[in-house]
Amino acid sequence: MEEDQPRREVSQSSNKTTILAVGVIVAIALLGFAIFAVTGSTKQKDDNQASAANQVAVNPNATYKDGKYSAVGSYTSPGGQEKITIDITVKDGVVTDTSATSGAIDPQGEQYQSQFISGYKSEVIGKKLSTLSLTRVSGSSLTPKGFNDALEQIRTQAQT
Amino acid sequence: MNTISWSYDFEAIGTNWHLSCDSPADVLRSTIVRDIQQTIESYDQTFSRFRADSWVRKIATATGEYKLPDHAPALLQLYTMLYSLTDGKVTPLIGQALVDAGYDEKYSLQAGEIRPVPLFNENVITIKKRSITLHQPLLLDFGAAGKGQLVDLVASRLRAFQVKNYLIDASGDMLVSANHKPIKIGLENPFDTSEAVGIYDLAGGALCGSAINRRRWGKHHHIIDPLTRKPVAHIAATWVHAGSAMVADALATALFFTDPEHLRESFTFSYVVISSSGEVNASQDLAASLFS
Repeated sequence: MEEDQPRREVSQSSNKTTILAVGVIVAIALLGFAIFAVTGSTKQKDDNQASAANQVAVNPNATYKDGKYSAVGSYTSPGGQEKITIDITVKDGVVTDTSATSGAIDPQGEQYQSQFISGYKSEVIGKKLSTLSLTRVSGSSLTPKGFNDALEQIRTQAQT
Repeated sequence: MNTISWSYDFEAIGTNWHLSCDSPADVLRSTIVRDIQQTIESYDQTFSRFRADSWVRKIATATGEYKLPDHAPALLQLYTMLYSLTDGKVTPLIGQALVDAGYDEKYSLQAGEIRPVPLFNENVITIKKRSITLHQPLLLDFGAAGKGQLVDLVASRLRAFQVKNYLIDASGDMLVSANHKPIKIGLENPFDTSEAVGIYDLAGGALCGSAINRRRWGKHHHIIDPLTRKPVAHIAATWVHAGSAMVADALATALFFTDPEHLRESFTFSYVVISSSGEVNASQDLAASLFS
């Protein structure tokens, strides 16, 4: 069920934290659980006045019926405009479930979105290895020095 | 019989190995170690596409008939089964695609265009009991099951020395002897390698894990779908507990492509699969506790 609010077009540089922020902000905008301070006075501002991309004014007195809500945020990846949909389930006024699905067409955009999604909702619960009494650990094979050196070179090149 | 308990950590085939066991007191540890190292070196020299002197590199240079080295028939038979069960996704003909993607012998990690992957059928390669015939140039890659088979071979060498209670860990792919006391294996969180997502109680057999968090570069990682020529996106990690390390290793890769219950029609094993979105899917009979 689509909430009757204007969609926020947010332009962001693409990185996992920012995409997550977009999703969270869109979600919060729908539910009014928080108020972001708007710079300057609370008087009505000119449309021309730039409002920071991640600032939203919401009605703190609004309550939301139980149900599922959906919102779409868009952001700019190196491949262009991308969209991401956040679905939220509300029960007793509390968010009980969230999920994100990507609507990216640009393959590079999908890469970023997969990274976002994998960090956004997880049923996997991790515990620090240092707190566990284990004989061995099983995961992907450790990579040899040659591979790690090659990765390091790529990272260095990507930064320059 | 008097035994000595010992462990040995070493590097081989591009990763870290750990071995612990009880061996007869009248056999020199150095004899056992040397035998294992020769076993590994011989296997590596046969099946590794990362070394210029290997059998797989030699046969990649020209079409024709080639005698099969030891262990190749069993390996190829497993690949043939899995190729069919995964609708062509697990294949030994993935070698060139991995090289094109950048996962080559020099670890250039520079991805170029990935050429179409040949079908694993009679027109491309004829497999007989003792030989294979390549009808076109092919770079074979046994990454999905080779390490597992090698772990099984090392175990058989240990048994030849009357070694008991062995644990072989080839960096996450492990095998314990049937009489070994139960051990706790942490299942590494693919999203955070300082954590485990659960603990596996291994009381015998092989536990092999596969994940996409380490061998990755740019937009690629090392588990490529031969049909789309893209890295698999929806699975982050898999584990399989089976009777042999070769089967556990191969199935851990197959689970990136196929539903586990489908594979359970043909193989006996337990599994844990973690999707890229962090959802866990595990078999009912699992000898593990996953954190929740």
